[in-house]
Amino acid sequence: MKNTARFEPGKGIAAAIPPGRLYGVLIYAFLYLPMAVLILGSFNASKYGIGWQGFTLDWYESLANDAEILTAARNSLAVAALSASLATVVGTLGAVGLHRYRFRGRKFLMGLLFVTLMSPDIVMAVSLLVLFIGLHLELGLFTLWLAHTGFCLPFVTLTVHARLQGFDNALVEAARDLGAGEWTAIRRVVLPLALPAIAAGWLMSFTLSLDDAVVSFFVTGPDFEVLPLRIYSMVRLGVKPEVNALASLLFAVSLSFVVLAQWLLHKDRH
Amino acid sequence: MSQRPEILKTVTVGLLAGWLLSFVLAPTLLVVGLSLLSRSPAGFAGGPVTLDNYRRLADPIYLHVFAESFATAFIATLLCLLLGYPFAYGLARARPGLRPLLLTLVIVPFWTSSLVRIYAIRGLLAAKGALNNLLLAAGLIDQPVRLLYTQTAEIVGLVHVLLPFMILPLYASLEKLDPRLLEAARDLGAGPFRRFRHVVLPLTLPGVVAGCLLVFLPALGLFYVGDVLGGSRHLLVGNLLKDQFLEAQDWPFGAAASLVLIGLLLAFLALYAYAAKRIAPDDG
Amino acid sequence: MTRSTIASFRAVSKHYGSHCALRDFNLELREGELLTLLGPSGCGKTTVLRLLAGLEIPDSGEIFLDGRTLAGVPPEARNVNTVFQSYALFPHLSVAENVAFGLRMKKLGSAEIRARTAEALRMVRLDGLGGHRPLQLSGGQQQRVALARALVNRPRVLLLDECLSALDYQLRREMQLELKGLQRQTGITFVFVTHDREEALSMSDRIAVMRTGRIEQLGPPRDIYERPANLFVAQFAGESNVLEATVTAITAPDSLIVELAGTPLTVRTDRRFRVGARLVLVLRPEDLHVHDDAAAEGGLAGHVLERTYRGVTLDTVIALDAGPRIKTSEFFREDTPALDHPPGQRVRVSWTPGWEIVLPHEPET
Repeated sequence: MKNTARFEPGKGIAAAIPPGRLYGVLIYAFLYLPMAVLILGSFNASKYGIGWQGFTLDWYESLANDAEILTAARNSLAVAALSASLATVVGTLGAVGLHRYRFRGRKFLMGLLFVTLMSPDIVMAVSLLVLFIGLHLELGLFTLWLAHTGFCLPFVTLTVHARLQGFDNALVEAARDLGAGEWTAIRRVVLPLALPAIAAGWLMSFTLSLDDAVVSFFVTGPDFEVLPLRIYSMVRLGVKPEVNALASLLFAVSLSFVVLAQWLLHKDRH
Repeated sequence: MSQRPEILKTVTVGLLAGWLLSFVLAPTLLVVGLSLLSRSPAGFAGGPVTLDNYRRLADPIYLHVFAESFATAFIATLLCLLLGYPFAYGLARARPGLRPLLLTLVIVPFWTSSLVRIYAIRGLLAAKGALNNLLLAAGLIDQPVRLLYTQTAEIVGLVHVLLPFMILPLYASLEKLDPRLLEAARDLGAGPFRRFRHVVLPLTLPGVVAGCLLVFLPALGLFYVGDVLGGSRHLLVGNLLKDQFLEAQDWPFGAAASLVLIGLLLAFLALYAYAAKRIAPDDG
Repeated sequence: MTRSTIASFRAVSKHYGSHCALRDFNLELREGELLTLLGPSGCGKTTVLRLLAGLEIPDSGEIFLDGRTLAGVPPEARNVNTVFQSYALFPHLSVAENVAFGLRMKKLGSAEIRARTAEALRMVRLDGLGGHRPLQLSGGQQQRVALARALVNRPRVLLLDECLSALDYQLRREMQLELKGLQRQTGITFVFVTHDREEALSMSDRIAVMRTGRIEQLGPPRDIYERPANLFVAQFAGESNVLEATVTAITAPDSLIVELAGTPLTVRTDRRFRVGARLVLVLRPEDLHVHDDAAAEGGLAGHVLERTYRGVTLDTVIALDAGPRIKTSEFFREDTPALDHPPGQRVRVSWTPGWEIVLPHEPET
């Protein structure tokens, strides 16, 4: 894997970079360039994004004054916090159950989690819509909460479960042996060990919920708009520089949450 | 105070199982049932059990949508695989100290809004967008080319959004690959091509299948890619579903169409299970 | 001296699926003894510990501790502690917090917890390491933390599950001595599980040799080694040469003449045999002497196949004229300069009369 290409005068800079590394850089550019241009555009004074006409925060300011966007933002944050919390509670308890107990149907449950994780958003969106209508639920906050919890759940469960798998099975037995009841053993030993994964699960769920457009599009009603849907309709109505600002903000929140979650999951690996 | 393990077992397992049964299994069964009914003016569905909805899927109008959407998704998946495999390989062989950073850089797009990123692609491809400006400035073209609202734009958008979904499972299986196996193959006289064909590929096949599943199915379903980049001209299966459920209100037909996706999902998962089992027969 | 019973197993059976781990198992543990469960893996010895700790529930039978049944008593309510094979130290707690865990569960006052934790750490010579995380310690130190964490609760019985097996040879020998010392010092009953016979012989007050869920023999180390109940115990307790023979005459109540492939031998045994019965002789390699053929009479004749220098001993493999091969293990002594017998040399093998172990012949299983 050692590539000792050196810069040779007259052969250009590209020749100095090993081809493998150049390829990697190009892929990263492909993944990040569109967002970089968009974020840059959100600070561009030009209304139509043609050429750089100076730095401005106008678009962020007009976001802050847009009542509809503020409402959608509040809704989004509420749904994300509620869904992430419920998914974290159910998912963590579920992961503890899957880790600690052997029961009939355990494999089936794991399989169902895996399938849910892999299934495309739109399949989940359609079936949940059918369920909610069938139950005569009013589409809005409550249905969004249930639906978002649903797609976050496998992520939390499998993340926490994977973390627990890394620990000695005898730890809970040791706690019981030393006088802890089952619940005390879980509270004092299992949950503290799983804590980084639980926190990461919450952060990832929050991000997933905040960013979701497909499921939300199907399961919310006209009176309860969330940010991605607001962006979607703004985009369809034509380019507005405020969308750049909003998209940049959303990206920044996701980015920081994901980086934090990754750090939590990997910090005690050597 | 006695703490009975049975109660905790019931609570922890019961909650998870209850949730999955109510919000995953039950709704899927409802969709299956719905697809066998027909549209009813009174409610959203009714009437006798029928296979009409499936017959209608074969109607040339819809067949065309499916064919086009499948072609788009297929090309996007193939591109992701071809671009992603060497990248994941390089990532798995990168310096250990650098790897977490490089990996996080792939994970971040995985978790950020694909709608926002599609919108960013649109900004690049627009008639007055960055790419056209760049080409004009470079003198490669004299007037803006139409990039937006083409199948190419859709494919670029899909690859941009879904590439991390291909790279991550590939990376996971490539990272597990023991380098000593390659040394052994080399020792036994296999050249680079045969090392790849007979050692690397079979051992990373589960990653390939998982990656294709995670790219192909969303590529069929991401309706806003069709809207934002494809215009109304190039519809995806996702757009069809959206129209049937939210506009035309023909739920039974929409349910039948979504069952096609569920069928594909199950087929992919069976393929994955098969590929994984070949490597580790006893891994439960 | 007979000591009173502290715990007992009465007709206990335990299955895992179709695998039978223990069948109709009976055992009395005595106050203050160090009892070792010795046996190959899968013989059920760990199951005995887990049942006493309450981590498994018996299918049938009953277990008693201090005269009271343990049926329905969860592990946390049993005054019994375990040192796990993997140590199972809580990685998120410090060494001191690990040791204090059991005392916390008992809701003792913080002053007492601190004092007893410090005392336990001192006892296992880890004072000063209380603030470390378990994973920062060496294997031997982790083992001591596990020991302190269990002992600090002053259990009625301490269960040790193959807890020395992860240590290297040298450290293991040290820990064996240390464990024995701690047991004497605290007076707590220890039940120790191992598959290492040397460990069992050197540490135990009593050994229970187990096979497929049953106790084959229970007794002091010396009985197990010198008077094994059957061939399995004989072979598991030490290196053995096993020779088949037939009884030709009974000369006294405790003396027989047997024929070993044509060679008559006189052997001593308390067991009763009929003339014509088949039996096996078990000879420990270190009990055998090798003589140059010409200079010896009696014993068994053969020739040297291999010899191996082992430092303390010289091991020789001899092919007997009667057929089987036997192994001898002789200590170097200044007065026996001619210990070295080159391969091919004709020799005779003898032993002190009465040191042979005579067992009934067992059909092959």
